[in-house]
This record gives sequence, structure tokens and C-alpha cells, in this order.
Amino acid sequence: MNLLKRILLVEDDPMDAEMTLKALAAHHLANEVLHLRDGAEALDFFYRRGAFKDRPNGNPAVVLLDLKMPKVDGLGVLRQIKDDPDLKTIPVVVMTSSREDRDLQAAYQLGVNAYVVKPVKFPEFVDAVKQVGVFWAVLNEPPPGSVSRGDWPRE
Amino acid sequence: MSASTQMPNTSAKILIAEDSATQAQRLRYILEQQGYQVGVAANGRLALEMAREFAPALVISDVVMPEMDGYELSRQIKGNPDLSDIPIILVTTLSDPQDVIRGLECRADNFILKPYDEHYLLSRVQFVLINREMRRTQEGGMGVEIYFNGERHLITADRLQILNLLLSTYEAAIQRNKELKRSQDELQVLNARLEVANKELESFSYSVSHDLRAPLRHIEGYVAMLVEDAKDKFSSEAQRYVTVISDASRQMGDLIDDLLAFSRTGRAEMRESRVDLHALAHEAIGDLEMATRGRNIGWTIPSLPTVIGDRAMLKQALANLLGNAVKYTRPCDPAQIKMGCAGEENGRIIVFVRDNGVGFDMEYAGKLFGVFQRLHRADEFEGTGIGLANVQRIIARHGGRVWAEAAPGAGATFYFTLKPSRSKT
Repeated sequence: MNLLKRILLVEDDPMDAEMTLKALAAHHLANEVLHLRDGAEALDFFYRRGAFKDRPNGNPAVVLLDLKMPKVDGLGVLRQIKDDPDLKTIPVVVMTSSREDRDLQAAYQLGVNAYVVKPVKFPEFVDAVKQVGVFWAVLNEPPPGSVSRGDWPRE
Repeated sequence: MSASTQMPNTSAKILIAEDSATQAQRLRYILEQQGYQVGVAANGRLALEMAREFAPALVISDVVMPEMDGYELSRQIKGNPDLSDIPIILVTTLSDPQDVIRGLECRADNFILKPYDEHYLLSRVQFVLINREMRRTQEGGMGVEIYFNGERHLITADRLQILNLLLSTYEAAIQRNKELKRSQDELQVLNARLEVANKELESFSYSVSHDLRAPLRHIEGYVAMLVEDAKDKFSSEAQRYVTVISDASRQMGDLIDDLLAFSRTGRAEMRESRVDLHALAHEAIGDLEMATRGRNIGWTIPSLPTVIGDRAMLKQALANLLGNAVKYTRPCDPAQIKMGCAGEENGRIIVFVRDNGVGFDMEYAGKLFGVFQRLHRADEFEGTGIGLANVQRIIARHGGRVWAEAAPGAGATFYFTLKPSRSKT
């Protein structure tokens, strides 16, 4: 599996994941996505543990991070990433159902780059995903050391 | 009070001077339970007459009575050589230090607080009866002059009387203090419970916001994907079914959002400031742009007063009221929506929002502000039935009230009261 993807999607709900991938596909970004299913997998990825022991160098240009996940939740992942000098520059966008103040507060305190509440209405959902994906993975200049556009073969 | 080695004679006679029949009854009951013999006089004058015949060992007298009050009764008793050694206990609220001076001046022996504390009352009666013996041996001493509250008073009560009176005053104060402390403790317990309830409500709302929205999002998403994928294969009936599913899930989304907003206005902290209602109304109208597109609406918003309140909450209330006006004037062209002031009530200004829309039947006006209560069918006008409940909650939190007047087909006026800001800018 080619692990050099610009977008890392950390999402435990298979339906939300499918919808997100479909939305990204509509904007030609499907090939840029690596989907991990909970916070533990995400941390294994970043710290090159377990299944990701020998993954190649290069960080994603953006992490789309769900908050409510089993094992290690989104805030737990966020905390570790932003605490780590080698990982803290990776842009993280929280994508979650929760619009509660305490989650907003916690995420921003930990240094999240953006916080998007998943819209309930599908056209808006698709639009939100597109805007986030296109901005962070295409328009934004990622920090040095990120997987760049030229790094993988266009399929 | 230290216990005396000598118990008082409990078949002693006690005379009560009390104009309230119920109070007198209660006092009589309490005393007769202990074995005292009780006589009751309905005012000071009658008490004085009865005292001569009944020859009580103690008089308990209310202060406020017709014909002769308790202080005068005490003065009369103490001034009469045949009666002067009968101790008299005055029953008072002791709300004024002046009461103490008055008691001393008329040579009363003791105070008891209203409302009675049974245990306290009985121990005081016991104390006075025991000390009666000691009193017999002392003469009325020289008068003492004292200045209090700018007035001169002559106290001729003897030292023991003065001591007794002051002790009872102090004990009464302590008793009041204990009651106050008890109330405070109860209040703390209730507050703690309220905190817990609020926290539970918060986590409930949190669950609602997160857990209920996710499946809803999935329904909407997969229906949309289904339509995209299989659109051509659908019969027109199938298409209609799909539309119904979409509409229903959208309705559920609106309900959840409204419920959340409603619970938030209940528990959010109010941030008070001076709010310019006129500017706020225009902001709210601006936010209604989507709903007013393509509509012919005549807005009349005169200059409105500045009020004291939470800006965000008041904006929400206005948004609800103006949004309703826009919605229920949909069949009207042109629609007329006005705001204005309708005078004052209890120091608060009355503001109104009036429209020329479909109105409602005043018979159902009581249901208007109930949660989920609607006066129109969903197929006539969409809505969740929470908007007005929200308005009422917001205005209530501001200490005001909301009400409405309308007639079917003749529009509606919604009134609400708010605290005006009187200072000049």
C-alpha cells in the first residue's frame, strides 16, 4: 500500500468515512487519502509502530481528525501530535459532529489548525469536505517534510 | 439558663393577653399540656381586669393589641401594688432595638419571639417562674437615664429585670441566628443539587448534539448517494418516497438544532449590557435574507429604546419573532411587519412585533408558548414549535413577560417587556 498520502483521514465510523471519501472523490482527491480507523492506529502511523514500522518518510499535508473514537480519541491524538516537535507542524483539521464549546475550547487550546462541524445536510457536507480538502491539500503550502504533489504516481 | 434545684409549681396560673384567637389557642394548648392553668384575655384592658381576679403567677402578653397594648399593660401591672410582682413576658418580633428600650421602660421581665418556638417558650416560662421568688426580695431601684436613638429614656426597672430582659433579648437573637444558619445550609444543599442537575442537562444536550446528529447525517448522505446512483432506475413513486425520507430527516435535524438552542438559552450565562433594539432588529432582518428573498415585505421599524439585556439572547428572540412574522405573512402581498413601543408596565417598556399575516384563534393562545405546540398544521406552515417557547424563556430570563393578540386572517401582534436603559449616551 502506498502510504505517502497527502490527506490522512482518521475516522472510526465507516459510514462517515465512506461519505467523506466519496466527497473527496468528487473533487479528484480520493487518491490522496489514507484512511485510519481510530486514534491508536493514527499514533502508530505517526510514530512508525506496529503495521507502520517501515513506512517511508514524509508526513501528510493535512490530518482530518474525528473526535469521538474508541481507544484513543481525537483530542488524545491531537495532544500527542502537537506536543511533539517533529509532528507539531502537521496541519490538523478536526471534523466532528460536536459543536460543543468544551470541545472547541479543548481543541484550540491544543493548537488545532481548524475545526469543522460535519454538516447534517449532505450537499453541505460534500461542500465542506471539498473546501477543506482542496484548501489544505492543494492550495495551502504544507510544512517542509510533508508529502508533496510530485511524490507519488498519478493513477 | 442553669437548671434550678427547685422545679416550678406546674399547676401555676398563667394569663395570656392575645387578640388573635388562633395564637391564643395555640399558646393555651402548649401551656395546658405542661399542666399550667391558663386564662385568656383578648386585649390589654381585659387582661388587666382578669389579672385582679385570676391572680396569675405569670402574664404572657402580645405587644400589639387593641384598646391597650402590651407595653401599657406591663406598665399598668407593674404600677399596681397588688399586681406589681407578677412577672410579665412580652411577645414580640423584636425587629427594632427600640423594642428593647420600650420593654425596659415598662419594666417587663422578659421577651419571647414571634413566631413561637415551643421548646424555647416553655423554658422561658419555667425560668421566669423560678426567678419570681428571687424578684420578691428586691425593690425597684433608682431610675437610670439613657440616651438611645436621639431620645432620652428613664429606666426604673430593677437590675434583675434589666438583666433578664437583656438576656432574653440576646437569646432571641441567637435563636434567630440559628434559624438563619439553618436556612443557609438548606440553601447550599439545594444549590448543590441544582449544580448536579445542570451538569446532567449539559451532558444530555451534548449527547443529543453529537449522537443524534450522526445517524441523521448518514441518512441524508446515503439517500443523496442512492439518488445519485439509481436516479434513472426510480419510478416516480419511488422518487417521491425518497423525497419524503429526505424531508423527514431534514425536519429531524431542525428539531434537534432548535432543541439544543432552547436548552442552551436555559443554561447559558447571561451577559448583560445596553442593547440598541433598533440596530438588533435590523441585524435580525438581515439574517432573514434567505426567507425574505422574492417576497414583497413592508418593514416599519421606528427608533426603538435601548434596553438592558443579553445581546445574543435578545437577538435570538427577535429573530424568532420576526422570522415568524415573515413566515405567517407568506400568503400576503404585500406583507406588513412593524415593530414599536406600546407604553410601560411596572417600569419595563413594552415592545411589539406586528404582522398582517394569517393570525391565529385566540382560543388557543394559551398553547402559543408551549414547547412543540403549534397552532397550524405542518402542511400549512413548516415549523418545530419551539421558536415561541424560546422567546418566552429568553424574555423570562430577562425578568419580562410575553403575550400575543391575534385574530384568524387578521394578523398577530406579539408583545414583550424589557428593562429600559435610562442613562443617556
